Amino acid sequence: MDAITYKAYSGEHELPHIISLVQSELSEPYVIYTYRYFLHQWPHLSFLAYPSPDAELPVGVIVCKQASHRDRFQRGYIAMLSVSKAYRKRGIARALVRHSVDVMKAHGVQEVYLETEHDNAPALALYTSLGFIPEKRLHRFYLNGKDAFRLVLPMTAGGEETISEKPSVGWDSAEDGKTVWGNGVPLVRLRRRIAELRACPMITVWPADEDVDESGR
Amino acid sequence: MSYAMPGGDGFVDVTDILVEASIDMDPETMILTENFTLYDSMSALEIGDPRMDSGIALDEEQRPDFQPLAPLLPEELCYILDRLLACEMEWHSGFTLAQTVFTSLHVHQLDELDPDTMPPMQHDPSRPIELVTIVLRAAVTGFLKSCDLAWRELSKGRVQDTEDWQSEKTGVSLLEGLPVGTVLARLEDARVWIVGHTHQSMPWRDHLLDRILLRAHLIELFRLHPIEDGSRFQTVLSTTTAILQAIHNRPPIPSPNSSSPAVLAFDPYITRRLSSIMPLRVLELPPLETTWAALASLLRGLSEVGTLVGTPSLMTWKVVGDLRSTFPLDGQRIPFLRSLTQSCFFDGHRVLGKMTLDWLVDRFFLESIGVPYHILASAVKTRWPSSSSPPFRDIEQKIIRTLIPHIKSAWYNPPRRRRFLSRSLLEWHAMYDAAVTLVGSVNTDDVADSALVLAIPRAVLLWQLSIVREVVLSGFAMELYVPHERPFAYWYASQVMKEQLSVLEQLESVIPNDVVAREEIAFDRSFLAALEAMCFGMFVITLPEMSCSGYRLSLNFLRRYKWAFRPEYKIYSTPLVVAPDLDRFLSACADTLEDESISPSTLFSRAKARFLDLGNSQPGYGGLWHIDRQKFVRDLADVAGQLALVSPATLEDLPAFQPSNLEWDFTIYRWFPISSAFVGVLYMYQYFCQACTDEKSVYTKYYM
Repeated sequence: MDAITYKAYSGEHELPHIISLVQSELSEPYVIYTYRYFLHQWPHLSFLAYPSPDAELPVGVIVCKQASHRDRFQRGYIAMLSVSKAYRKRGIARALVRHSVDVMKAHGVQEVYLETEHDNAPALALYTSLGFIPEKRLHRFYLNGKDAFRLVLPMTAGGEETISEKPSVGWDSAEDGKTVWGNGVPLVRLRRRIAELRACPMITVWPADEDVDESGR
Repeated sequence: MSYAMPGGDGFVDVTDILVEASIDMDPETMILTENFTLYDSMSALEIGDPRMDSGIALDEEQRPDFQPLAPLLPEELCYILDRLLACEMEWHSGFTLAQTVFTSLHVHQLDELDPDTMPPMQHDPSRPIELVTIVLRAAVTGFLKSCDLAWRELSKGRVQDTEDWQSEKTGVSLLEGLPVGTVLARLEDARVWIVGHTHQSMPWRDHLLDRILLRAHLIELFRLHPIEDGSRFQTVLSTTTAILQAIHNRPPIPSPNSSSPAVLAFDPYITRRLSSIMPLRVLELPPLETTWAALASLLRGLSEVGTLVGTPSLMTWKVVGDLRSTFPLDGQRIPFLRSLTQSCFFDGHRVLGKMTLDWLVDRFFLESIGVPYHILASAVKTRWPSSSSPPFRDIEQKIIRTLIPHIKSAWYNPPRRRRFLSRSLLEWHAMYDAAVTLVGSVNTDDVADSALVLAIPRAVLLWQLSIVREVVLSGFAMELYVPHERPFAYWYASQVMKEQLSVLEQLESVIPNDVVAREEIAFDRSFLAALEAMCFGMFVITLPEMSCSGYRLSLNFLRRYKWAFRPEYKIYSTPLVVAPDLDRFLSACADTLEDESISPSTLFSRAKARFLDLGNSQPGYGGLWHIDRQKFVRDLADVAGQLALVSPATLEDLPAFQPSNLEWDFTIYRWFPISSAFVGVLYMYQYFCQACTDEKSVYTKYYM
């Protein structure tokens, strides 16, 4: 099996494929201008996954934006993420997010956020395994009456961690990000783990954040 | 598939103009207007795409021409009235008017039902036209007026438009200008016309009569003010409940066939003909049983509002608010009830319709620590070192400004409430700082003096800490925490409760023996001790989930607890009490893992025993809601018992314990996971209860 190839968005000719991938996931479709809004302004933040280097049809896509948040800091937003059903469970979505977040980080983004339905377990598992946290629950956010989570990945300029970094001892990380802590792991390793965390340099300064009063939608 | 063009085919093709205008543009260029936003891009639509074009009329959605004056059988009319109620309840639950209320086609052609203007029609004795022109007309009028009255309450801004409820009327009238008296008069005419018939001359007569009476009483309920019209409100509420019960006790109405005018009186695709920004999905109305249950819940909720407004106790409102926001009863959290409750608590001028704002200050101290405010103020005044007056007014204003929205927030939707509480903590700290500064200036000669004066900031601190606890624990109910955040959240909640217990201990000497506040504080002390043990136990058993890097842990920590790191705190000289502290937490983790005397299962067993002890507690300010509070505590005892059984007995067993094997389903116990072993038992129990309920009378299900 060929390795999945990831390429940055390269032009309007890819738009129909992107729409096709994303549309299959949506009950209420986006108008084409919504795609263009993102792709024409932030083409460097959108990536496509191809099943082989010379494949013409992508099997996964991520569409993002980056903007100044209240003139205080740069904030990234993941607008769309879709992987063709036949290509799921191969880490493609995870890789797509990492590609976009890495570029955002290089462009000075201090946090990345997105919204997803509160019961979208696969999306929540993916993003939380990458370090995102559900910062807010948004009541009846969608037209179908469902709640949403706003997921946020806080970052700092020059932070040392790449996303989804795991500690060196005590834990093995499964692909879905679940902690594997099996029988027979002695208490001493848990103690060592805590000692390791205490020795880590912690982030101590957080910029003032006044967005708690935003509409939440 | 062919589409009809609303408005006819007289449109002009302007493609050439667009082609000419874009001739100078290069391929793949895009011109954005200044400040073009994502919302702008999403607001564009592709004409002709039925998923985006709200005005397109699809062939498969075409309906026969609606005949508003089509004669109806009485049972068909009953069916229509029940559907109207279903639409109304669905709107109350948060859907749009276009998807619900406005799917009734009679709503749009109500004028044609006027008996004075109707054309001559052939008489059918089984389908008297008066059923349409008198009874249906009155019912639809009443239906719209009920919605109008509810809309007025909802639009006061106490619940969120487009979130809790949908205000959009799409240009359709809810009969805003028609006086309630006129509507009730029409319903009375309908009642008189119905009672003029016998059961023989009109089958389903009593069914119809009940439904007309129900509508008239619902309008009254929506119109009456629970405080200003207190006794009338209670009387009408009792009668409405009895009518609903009577409807339920009667045989069910047969469903009409699909070609019946009763079925054709509703068009679920009406949204395509209304003025809406985007297509709305067709809403399938729930079974009638669900509608009756929703209405019964609304009535129970109104009953609670009626009782609550007659309970002038700040702490009782707090107890009820905390209970209902944490463990909402089915259907009683509908936006109308949440808005009405807030309106009753404070109408912008008076508290509970009659109390001045100073009443809040008096009750705040009297009910929190059992000491009247004037005694506390006097203690400060007599020991005040300066000739100027102590700055009481500043603290009083802060209490008033903070308490009113705090009490009301219990009736926000839960995520809004949590965000509000997080934000309000700064104001509570400002109040605490002002109180600390005030008493810091007082000359106290002895210990007794000092305790009384210090009771002022301590009372504030008790509330402040309870809000921190609520913010932290409600994060579990909302499923906000990822696994590596759980140990801190439980540990931090336990630390906050330890501090609360310490403050209660410090207040012990100033609380009089014979006051309700002492009962309430006794309850709090036991409850907090139990909950603290439980949270500490959860902290210990979730420690193996600390699987992220230190960098990620600290970043996510700062983000999660950002309310505590606002720069505004720096302007106060008093530090935040029990501020979230990652270093302290990691030290606590290390100390805990070295303490071999810690037994998680014992912590849960101890918590269970303490919760069970509360079964004999005095009602305190729980008042009529004491039973609900006891149930809440019993549930916590249950979950503590379950966790005691599955948790490791010693720390040595901890690494083998997998927290991920717990059922992290917070719909059951809100703040705590449940043991997977008990989930099957719980579902079997719920299934058994449901089966039993189905066997019992509907009255038991909906009215008890």
